[in-house]
Amino acid sequence: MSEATSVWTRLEEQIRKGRVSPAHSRTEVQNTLVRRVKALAGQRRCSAMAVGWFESRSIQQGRNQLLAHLQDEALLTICIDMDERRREIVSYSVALHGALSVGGTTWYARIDLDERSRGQGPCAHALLHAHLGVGEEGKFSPRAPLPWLHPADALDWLLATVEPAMEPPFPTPES
Amino acid sequence: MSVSTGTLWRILTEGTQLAVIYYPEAITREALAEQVELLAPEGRRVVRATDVGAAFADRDAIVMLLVTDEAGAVETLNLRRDELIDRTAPAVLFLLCDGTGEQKLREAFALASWIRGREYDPTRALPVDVEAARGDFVGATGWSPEAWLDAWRRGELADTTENNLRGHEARLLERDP
Repeated sequence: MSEATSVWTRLEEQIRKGRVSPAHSRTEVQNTLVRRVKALAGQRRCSAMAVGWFESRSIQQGRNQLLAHLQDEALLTICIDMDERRREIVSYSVALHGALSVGGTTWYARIDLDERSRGQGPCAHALLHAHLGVGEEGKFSPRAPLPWLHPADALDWLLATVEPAMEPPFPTPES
Repeated sequence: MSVSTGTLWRILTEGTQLAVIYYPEAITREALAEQVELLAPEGRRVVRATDVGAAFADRDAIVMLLVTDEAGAVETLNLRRDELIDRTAPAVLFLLCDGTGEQKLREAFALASWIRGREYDPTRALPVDVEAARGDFVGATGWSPEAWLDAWRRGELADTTENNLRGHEARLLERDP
């Protein structure tokens, strides 16, 4: 195995370990996200009711999907697939879409955790990766590989990337 | 099943005197208690109590009743429910799924009737109609969830937000993954 290949393989292994944790119950993961949405609401960046927009769906025993859509000037979408029995975050997508105030050019920023390796391989298509771009998605959208990030950390990164004032930790009403 | 934090938000926000949250195991009770604190309306005090008597004492705070004797708490609340009428924020009783407290509540018809619609049970919500959801998926994509996932996993579909969300949906609906 070449040195370059082993970097990507080690990164993939680190992500596979990170996605399983005793703290990865549906309610605990949901709470980490609700806490951030509450902070956004506290900054008047979304509706105070948005904390109630997290839907959890399950068909197979133990498999859960958390979903939330928040729309203000930008649209935030969070979708997480979980295996509660294994305390595993199987996959997730955290995405922001918006439009520039001048010119109206659309932009997107998204972090995806894939359930399994797919596409070209762990370098070009890392298990956990970011997409950033302007205009229509999918035309040219290279994937920037990332180390393990909890979905809430991914949300922090996206928010701080598009709005420097949102560098975590967010101020909370209690602090 | 499908359940939303909006159900709990509504219980905590509307003028409810008593509500019940069901939890499947002790560790989840703590996480749900934290969720109550997160979803509580701005400015509303939230307190934790291990004695059911707190429900009759602190009428303006959301009082989480995290008691050991859940059946006893249900009995007390049933006998003294008239004393809860002037609460301005809910007392929230946590009951173990299929535990003695829930059993007692089933027997306390008047109390059970009173709290109907004020229960939050994230692990035992209404089932999703899988066949209808699969039909919707085929209607939207022209493919079954399994066929769509095969193409997605081979990298044949554009890596867009829409398709990533479609992928999450397909995995939820996939048969024998």
